[in-house]
Amino acid sequence: MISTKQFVHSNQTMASGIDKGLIKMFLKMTPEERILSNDNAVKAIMELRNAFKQHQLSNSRSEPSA
Amino acid sequence: MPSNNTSYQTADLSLLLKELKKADVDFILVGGVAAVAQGAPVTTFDLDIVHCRSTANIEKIKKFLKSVDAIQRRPDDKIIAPDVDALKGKGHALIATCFGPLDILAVIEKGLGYDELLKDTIEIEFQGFKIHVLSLDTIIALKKDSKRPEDQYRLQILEETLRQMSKK
Repeated sequence: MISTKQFVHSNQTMASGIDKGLIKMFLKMTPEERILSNDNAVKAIMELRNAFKQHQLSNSRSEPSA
Repeated sequence: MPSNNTSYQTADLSLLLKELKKADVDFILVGGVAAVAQGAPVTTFDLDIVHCRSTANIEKIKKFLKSVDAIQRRPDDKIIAPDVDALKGKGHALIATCFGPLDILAVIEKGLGYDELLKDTIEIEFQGFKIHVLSLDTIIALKKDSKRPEDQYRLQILEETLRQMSKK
């Protein structure tokens, strides 16, 4: 559940379409931590894409043929 | 040539970066990972480098590419070895490696290569290695002329990152 305070804050953060809070958070890391964080994000995205592919595959298998 | 068992579906760009340094390749980190390293919260799937075009460095790249089972990244699934000779001139090689995609570029925007860009780099410490990274303000300056919508959106994030960096 998002509180009113959090909602206002997040609205201000996103006012320009850019998540300024995320940038602030990222700037606190070292360059090495940032690159490792990108790696983790890429790995997570690839896993999700694979999961989606598997889901599509199992759905197409379970559809009755015409 | 890579064995049939090599998987190109993985991406470990940190490891790819480390292997490049271990192979003693002279390069400048550019593109998305360069922006990430300097604080831009973007996600990027490949490693972009501008290489030094000396004969000795091309030889090191050749050896490195063999060690990571490199093949050309192509829309069809043909397995073709990278064209290393193209890297001696102003060409580039878009490559798939066992650690993830790698773009080796002789020049980037405005025809700038390793020698011209070196003065616009910062040096970062990464897993015990020193890496030349194209400075964020140079990346922004070069991307400003880009017509690609993706670059235009990313530019806003890079500019805000630079703004917050200069406030510190």
